[in-house]
Amino acid sequence: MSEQEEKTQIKETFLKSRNGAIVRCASIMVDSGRKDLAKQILTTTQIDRSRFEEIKAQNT
Amino acid sequence: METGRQEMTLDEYIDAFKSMGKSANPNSYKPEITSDEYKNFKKMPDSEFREFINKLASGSTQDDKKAKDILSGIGFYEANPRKVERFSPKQMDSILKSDHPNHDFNRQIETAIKTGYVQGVCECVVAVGDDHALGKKLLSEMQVDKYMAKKFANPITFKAMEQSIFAPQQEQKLEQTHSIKR
Repeated sequence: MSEQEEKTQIKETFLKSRNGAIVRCASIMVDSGRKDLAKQILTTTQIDRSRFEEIKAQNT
Repeated sequence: METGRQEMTLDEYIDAFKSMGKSANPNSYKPEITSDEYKNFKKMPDSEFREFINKLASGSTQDDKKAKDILSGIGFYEANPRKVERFSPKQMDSILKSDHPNHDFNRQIETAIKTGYVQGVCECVVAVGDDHALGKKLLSEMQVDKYMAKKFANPITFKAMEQSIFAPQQEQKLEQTHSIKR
């Protein structure tokens, strides 16, 4: 694996882990009856609805 | 440079660790394990702790790494550089693997996973804003503490947390002021 490929993989791993954590946090907010805050989290962290569903499906 | 530290066996070191509840050399203690893991090790009976470390150190590569992290976390290597020679050939192999390029890449991947996770959680806590109860709930459920946030999150994100959820409680300050006046 080239250095560039390694860097790409590290970056992708970071983003995948970050997005997974954000989706879990948003789900906790939904479960706590705070859909407004879940929406706020997704807006602030720049994850749209379709991406949210996609990541959620990947993590379940 | 000679530090003048007295070397110990693993057992002696763990005894000291258990009895003091921290590294045998508190001044150089820099935990590499999470605070929850640290608390669990503190609570573990001595025999169980030794068994745990030995089991980890003789397991898979990943487990070897975990054992190393724990020993590193409690400052064992730092305090006993030469005593590493007492380890089994398998344990020595795992230590030598530290210099292997693949090992370095795997470590970077593990760090990326941990950093990404903590960063994601911290961004959510900041996004929740002034509702500190929910922010604390998120930190608790996602098992992220202040120490991890400081270590892994983006400094800008952590600074935002320091000014909100990790800020000293205004109420506590007021309470202290009142008690001094009394």
